[in-house]
Amino acid sequence: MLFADRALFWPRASALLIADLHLGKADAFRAAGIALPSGGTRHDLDRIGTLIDRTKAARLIVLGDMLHGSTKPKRWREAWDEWHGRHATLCIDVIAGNHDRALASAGLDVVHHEDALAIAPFELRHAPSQASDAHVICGHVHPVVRLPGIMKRWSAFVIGEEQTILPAFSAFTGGAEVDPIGARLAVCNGAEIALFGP
Amino acid sequence: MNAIDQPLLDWFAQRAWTVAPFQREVWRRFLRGESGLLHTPTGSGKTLAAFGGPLLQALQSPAPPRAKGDRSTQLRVLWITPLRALAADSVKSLRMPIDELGIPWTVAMRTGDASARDRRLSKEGRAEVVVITPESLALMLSYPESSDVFSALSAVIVDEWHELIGNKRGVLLQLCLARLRKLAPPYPCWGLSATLGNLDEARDVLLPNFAAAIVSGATPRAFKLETLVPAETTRFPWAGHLGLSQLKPVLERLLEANTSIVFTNTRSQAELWHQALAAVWPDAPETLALHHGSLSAELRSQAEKGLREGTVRCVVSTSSLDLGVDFPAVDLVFQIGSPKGISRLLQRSGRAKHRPGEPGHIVCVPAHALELAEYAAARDSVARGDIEPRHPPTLCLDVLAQHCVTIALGGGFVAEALLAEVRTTHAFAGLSDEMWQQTIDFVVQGGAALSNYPEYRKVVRDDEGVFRVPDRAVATRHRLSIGTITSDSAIDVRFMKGKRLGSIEEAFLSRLRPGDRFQFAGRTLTLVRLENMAAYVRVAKAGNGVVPRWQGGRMPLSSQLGAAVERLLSLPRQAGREMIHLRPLIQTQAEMSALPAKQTLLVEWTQFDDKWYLTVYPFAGRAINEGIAALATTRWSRLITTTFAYTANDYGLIIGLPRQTLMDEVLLRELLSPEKLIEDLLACVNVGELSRRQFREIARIAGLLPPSMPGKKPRTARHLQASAGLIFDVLQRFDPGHVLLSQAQREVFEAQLDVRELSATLARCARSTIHLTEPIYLSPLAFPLWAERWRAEWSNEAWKDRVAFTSEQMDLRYS
Repeated sequence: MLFADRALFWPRASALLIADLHLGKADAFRAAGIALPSGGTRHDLDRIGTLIDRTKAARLIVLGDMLHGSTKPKRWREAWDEWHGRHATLCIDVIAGNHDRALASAGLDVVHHEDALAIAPFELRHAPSQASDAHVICGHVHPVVRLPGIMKRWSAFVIGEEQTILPAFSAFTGGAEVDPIGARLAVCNGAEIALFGP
Repeated sequence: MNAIDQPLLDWFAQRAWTVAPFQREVWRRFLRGESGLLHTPTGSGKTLAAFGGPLLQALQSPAPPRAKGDRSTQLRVLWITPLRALAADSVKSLRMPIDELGIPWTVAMRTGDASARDRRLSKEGRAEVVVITPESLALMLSYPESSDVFSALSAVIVDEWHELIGNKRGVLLQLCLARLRKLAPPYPCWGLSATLGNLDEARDVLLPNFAAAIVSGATPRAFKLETLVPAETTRFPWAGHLGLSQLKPVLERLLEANTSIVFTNTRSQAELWHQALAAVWPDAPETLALHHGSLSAELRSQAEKGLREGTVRCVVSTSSLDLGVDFPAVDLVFQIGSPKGISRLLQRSGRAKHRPGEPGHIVCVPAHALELAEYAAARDSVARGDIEPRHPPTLCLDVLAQHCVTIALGGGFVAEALLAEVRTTHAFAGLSDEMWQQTIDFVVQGGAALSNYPEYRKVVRDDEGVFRVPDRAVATRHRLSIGTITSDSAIDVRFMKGKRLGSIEEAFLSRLRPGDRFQFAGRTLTLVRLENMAAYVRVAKAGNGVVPRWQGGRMPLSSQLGAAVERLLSLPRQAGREMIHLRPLIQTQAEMSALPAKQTLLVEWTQFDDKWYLTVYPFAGRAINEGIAALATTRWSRLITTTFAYTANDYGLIIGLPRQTLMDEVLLRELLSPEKLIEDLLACVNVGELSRRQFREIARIAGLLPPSMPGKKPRTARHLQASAGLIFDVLQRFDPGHVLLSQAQREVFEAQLDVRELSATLARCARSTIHLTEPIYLSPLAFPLWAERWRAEWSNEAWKDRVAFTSEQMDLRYS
């Protein structure tokens, strides 16, 4: 089940899958002297909360890039702790992404997977890979498309024979354009999902 | 006893040059320690006028030989120039007298293009004369050593001040000069400017709180404006009619001259003329060149080099050659089409015979009959000394925020002292305590509410109350992003299915709202949405609504020149070759309708081709006339339901509707009322989207965008990628009261919509008597407006045929 709010729900495993949460991105900007207001992290976490309430998911799996920068005490951490308190029964798995260098030492009460997580028939990982026999579900590339017809850049799921790429979950992210020709896409358009391709 | 300026007089005599009185005046004032503004056309010897003082000073009191190891600064003269491209030429023309007079000075260039050697010399204060842009000056001020480097400064000269006064780069320079006044002992400061309509203001902005002089240069400069009057007489003028038909006389004149520049108003016009001339060019093809902003830098510099060395005989150019690079070989300048503004025409005429004392000569080639009146009006205005003003922007908080960080880097600041310093500038004299606090909040804590910006780190107040930048990475990023230069951008017009139709200036498209219809590429289109630098459109269905038409990349006539044309057209029997040629046209206008007159607003209500047309002539320039047209149609559409279509040109505006309706003075007063201007503008203009666009420049200036390096990105910035649009959205959602969001909206109203000029024009209309005529056909003044209506709808050939046909019909009817 795909959600237009850029998440995938897997009913059999009762798991909600998201990619590229980038917690604390605005914090990193602020630390670098670029004045962005906070609020984005809380907003993103609230969106996860809404999805969990809707799906009654028991498990949240983050396909990498849960954090954006370092884990020095920051505003996002307060928001996270508060949110986590409200969802104490939720099992959270995080597959480490390239931004997650500080994750292991962060003490977030999440199950940390260094490389990939195999739950048949899928292999869940951060970056796309051709090497696996199982169908890969991943994130990392922040796919967006310019579709012929609807020319804004939209976040999209890229659904292939061997792997499925999730869009970046965080609202404050850009993206890499994928070529829509011949690809099977689920495009997130506000509250709706539109399917394109073969 | 010798005159105080004897060494320079001798040197001029040696070179067989004549000293102009204004040059001696500036030298003497300078030696007395006075500051001032010299206004004089390019090519009249302004460089030597301004530089003579420092030269004489150096000759009078030569610096003692420096002891070995003496590291004290040698910087004496700062020469500020608006264009990097001009810097190299300035260095050359400053070096020449230094060398010939045997002064042991080094001249260094400190711009983005400078060599590593020059940068080192200027940074360490080991050159006596530094040629610098405002941005590079700001960069120098961001280093703590700058206070030592500038400590022995004895002169600051601001070249081409008229190019800076009206924009944010000028604001940045005002702030830098205020800083220099703190760092250096009192020094004379001279501005060099072309003639402006607001010279007093120009002086006060550059030299606030100085008792400074205004010195007139070589005015009135002999200025010869010649018009190629077409052979045939027409009553009904239209755009594009006469341009290339004048090719033969233009070529003849070109071949009489040694070297010439042909100025056009648009790139496409330049391409067209270059192509046409190339087809009949009798000399070697490489002696004819093209120069405009879309060409590669290499091709452009080739053309410039050819002009300088005399190997190129003619260059067809847009405004890309307007600025004051010296081409002494050029002896003739052409202007194709409307001059657009008086100062612009003067500037262009100055490109010919760029030598002191020799007259400027410009040959004007009308592309449309009414342009004859524009040339005559421009000549009159020059004779009267009536030139356009350039208004300095104020309270640019984005520039102020950038400057605060620069000063925090360059040794730190105390808030009260810096506030007092920036308030000495014209731009921030009216800075309220609240605005200042908002700016400081922005650079120190990120925004007004500290709680919104946890962990923000840029400028930090230390224990002694001094604001500094402690983080080296922040410092490096800020230095990379110093500067305020931005360019206006074009937006792609695309169908929903992705096919690209072309591109239109942002300024036009952002005035439309989704659902609005407009004419482009021969079709009537409906705007679906504006997004990410593209306008998505579909072919419009028939129905009610406003249909504005795109006018192409043409700059508006200045309001000064508009008023001068109105004055000329108000009398039927003007003298002068141009006006004699126009007499039949003016007579027909007077017989059919009426002539424009002082304190009167001419309005025509005409039926033509099954449509009804309201034509109004405020003579306010195209941009303002277009604003009035949008406003009037919005108001009118509240009263009656029908399809409106409007077009504007420099003289007036036309609103067409498919049916007869009541037309009287009461209605006109209502449509053109200066009341409720802002509310009605908000109703017809997409202010949100305009602000989002305006925000791009502001975000860059204020340091909200990580600087992008040409070529490669610095590694550290990779996790800091975001677009101005994303940042605008984040601010709107989480800090809607942000000081820079209100700055963006203010700029939309001031700069893009020019509310000040618009409301002044409407007030003028309200004071005028309305002269409503009902001519039985289109009047000669209405004709080009009517013709313009069809221009975008039809293919070029069909349009020309149709307009030519209608024009002939009308000529027959009235001959």
